[in-house]
Amino acid sequence: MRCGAAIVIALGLACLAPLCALADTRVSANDLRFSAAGETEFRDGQALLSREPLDWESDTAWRLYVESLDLSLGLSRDGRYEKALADLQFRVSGDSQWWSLRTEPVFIAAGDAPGRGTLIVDWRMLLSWGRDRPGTYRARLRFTIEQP
Amino acid sequence: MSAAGALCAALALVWPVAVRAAGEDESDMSLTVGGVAILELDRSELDFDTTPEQFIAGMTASEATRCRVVTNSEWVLTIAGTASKWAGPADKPVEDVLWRSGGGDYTALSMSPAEVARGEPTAGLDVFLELAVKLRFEQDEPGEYTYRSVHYELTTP
Repeated sequence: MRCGAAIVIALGLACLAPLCALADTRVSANDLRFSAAGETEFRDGQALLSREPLDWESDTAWRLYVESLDLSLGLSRDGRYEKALADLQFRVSGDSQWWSLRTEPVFIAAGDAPGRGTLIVDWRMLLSWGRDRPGTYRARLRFTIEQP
Repeated sequence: MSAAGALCAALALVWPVAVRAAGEDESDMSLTVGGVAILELDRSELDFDTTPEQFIAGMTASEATRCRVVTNSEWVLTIAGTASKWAGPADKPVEDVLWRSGGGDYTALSMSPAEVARGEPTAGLDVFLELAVKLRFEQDEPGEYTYRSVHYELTTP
């Protein structure tokens, strides 16, 4: 009898599990495609990708992070240069401070109120004449939204 | 299974979900960097005067031009003439334009590109060229001669 009661309790709790999972958090990001970098971008020292949306949803307070799944941005076409991950930077649109990508989560933004919204983020790739040989540089990014 | 065991198992199922939730998404980033090469000349025209002494020496005094190279690739700077003759009162061939870089002997300009310098990617490297004009008593009749067809080219592989 005691065993039967325990099973009933367990089943009851199992049924309650979805209700206990109060924290429903989601984040959705687009692929980031910079335009080809040419003379203008080199003169500016950077290629810009402005106002990229980052959609989030949370029913609790939230914190949003980004990290790279790659150690670098890859090799130049001739294989003689490896572009540093730190050359890829972001900022929340309107902020002045840029942050470099790393292979560990880098804080983007946080909110105390639940809900959903779109965060606008600017991205830039630092460019240098003497370093950045022709090629296509890439990274895979992971965005994570968490409860604090 | 005891009642306590079943309860623990159920709590174990529920607990992680209730404590923390996280969502994630992945995206790709890409940027294509092309070969970019900029060549800037500090002078677009050079004027040469002639003196009897220069005729005797066979050439004018030299005039210098600075070529600034800015590029993100290996580069080669070449010089060539794009017209076979000067404009003027008498025939004067392209080869009467003389050039050199970094000292040494002068080279006669040709309609085939000649390498002036080459190098690695740079945010700004100055290549100095000296140009002069070959003088010939027997051919260079008095008058004004112009040659507007010196072509500098910066190429990247």
